[in-house]
Amino acid sequence: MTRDWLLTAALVVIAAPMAWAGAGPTKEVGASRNPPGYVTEGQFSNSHLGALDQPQPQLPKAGPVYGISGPWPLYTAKLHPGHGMKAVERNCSICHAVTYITMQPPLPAGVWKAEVGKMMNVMGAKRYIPEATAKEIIGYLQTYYVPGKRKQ
Amino acid sequence: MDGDQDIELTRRRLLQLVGGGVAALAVGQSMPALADVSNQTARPIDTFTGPKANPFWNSVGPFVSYPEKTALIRLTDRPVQLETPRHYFRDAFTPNSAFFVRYHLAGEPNTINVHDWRVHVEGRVKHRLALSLADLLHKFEPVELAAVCQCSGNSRSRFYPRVAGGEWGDGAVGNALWTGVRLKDVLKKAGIASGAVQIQFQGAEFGAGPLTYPSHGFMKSFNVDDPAIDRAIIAYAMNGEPLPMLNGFPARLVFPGKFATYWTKAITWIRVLDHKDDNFWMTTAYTIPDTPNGDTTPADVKAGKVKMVPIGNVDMPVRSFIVTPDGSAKIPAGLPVVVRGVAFSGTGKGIRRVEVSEDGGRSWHDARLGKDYGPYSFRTWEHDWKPARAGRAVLAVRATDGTGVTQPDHGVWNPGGYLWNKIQRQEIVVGPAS
Repeated sequence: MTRDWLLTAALVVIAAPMAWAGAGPTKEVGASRNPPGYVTEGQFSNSHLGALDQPQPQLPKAGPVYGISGPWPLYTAKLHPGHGMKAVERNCSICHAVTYITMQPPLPAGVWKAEVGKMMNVMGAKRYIPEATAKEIIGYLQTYYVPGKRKQ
Repeated sequence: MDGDQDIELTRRRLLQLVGGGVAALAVGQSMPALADVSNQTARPIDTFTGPKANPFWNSVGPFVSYPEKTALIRLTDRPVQLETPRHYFRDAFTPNSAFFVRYHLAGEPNTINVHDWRVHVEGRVKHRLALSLADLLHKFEPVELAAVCQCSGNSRSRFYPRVAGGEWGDGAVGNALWTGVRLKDVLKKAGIASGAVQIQFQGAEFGAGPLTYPSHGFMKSFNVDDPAIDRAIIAYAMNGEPLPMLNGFPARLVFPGKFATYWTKAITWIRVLDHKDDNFWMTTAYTIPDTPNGDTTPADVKAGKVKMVPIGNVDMPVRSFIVTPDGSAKIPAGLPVVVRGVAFSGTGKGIRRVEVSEDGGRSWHDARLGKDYGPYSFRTWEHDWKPARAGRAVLAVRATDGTGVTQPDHGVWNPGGYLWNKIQRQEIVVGPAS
């Protein structure tokens, strides 16, 4: 009690030059609910960002097998709809998610051609993917993922 | 209605900040802006950056959940590549649950049966070895070392012109206390035979591509007499815990001072080769120009003037990050703020000095260095700042390593998007206190 009183007294002393002269009664019930003019109060709206669910905690199984329970989760990005999208999804996904495409900045047409060429020849996709399909994939990327044309 | 107005104001302010960053880029002054923390959540971050450099501290993917991980930033989901949000770099050690992830091939393991898993030492050795986890735990002297693991392509999205690849912000890096056995103790037990040229490392990471193609397997090599071999450890613990699956359980290689591409996860084969490793991951991928700081130009590359060498030929160049303040909050003039971050260098000589600028790099002040956990660790630093007047302030940080090399105020360019270590800036809005 004494400490609180001292603190109040100290505040009064400090505040004195910035306050009215003379003492008055204290407001024991607190301030009015009406917000003071300097505050913008209590505004809410629905979030446009997604909520991220917490995973259920779980103890691992006993024994010599270590690791995670089940598959790795996919969070694959959506491609721009258009001619060639299905060919991209079906073929590029043999080795990797199409998120590899959406991760890139908009790239010049020549860079996309070189990237698909690298996948076909250096990475060995030519063993799986016909040349005509590769051309369709290049056409799609050069339509939707180049500077000035990329939307998403 | 008022809410919409606020959103509109915030949007304009953000555009100004981003615009400022882009305009400044023209004179080589990028300022990583609001990243995983913002003063608004009405609008998500851009879904991609470019053709200009990424103006944000981290990359722009969504936060995602993975087993054994806290919410991290997705680059790709198959194979998995995850970036660590900026605020985790306030501390010298990066939590395992927040440590970045970078796989090359989608066959990364979900589970590993340690009853069958072995580290095979083979090739030009006197005795072939097949070491179990128990062998690593009990048959060799354990050692412990703090070391920064940084992706070669960390900050690739800062390059301009942009280069294709993993479009990392600055968070493809982490520091951990690694516990394990010396690679040289294991090699000594096997005994290196005559004719050994390089030592090749391969982990349990495979892709769907055809055998003999780089989409099938990922292998890295060092010369048999490279000092990196003597420093390396096979680590079975990370910050005093088992490694998360995504960071290389049961054991991974640690090459202090070298980029993470050599830090083979789930290490399974150690092959002593009688020839130079000419696989794609050594000769084409992860190569840098044989020039000072690995710097070149698109024109020189196009003209075929640039000789490329493996990134393992160099140590990680000195770097530092501003972690707080991150620009998300306005700071009242006169309020004292502690500017914090980390610095590191791969040279093995540690961090000698960290300097902070309050005026965008015109004048510099020595920062206080935090505890020294060894020459390969993050070194935390702090600097007391009291913004004098309202307006826009630009903080900058530069570190000098034990060899006397200071970070440049010039961003390197090379076709792989490697070795970025330009001085980092952070724009801060200072408001009036009355």
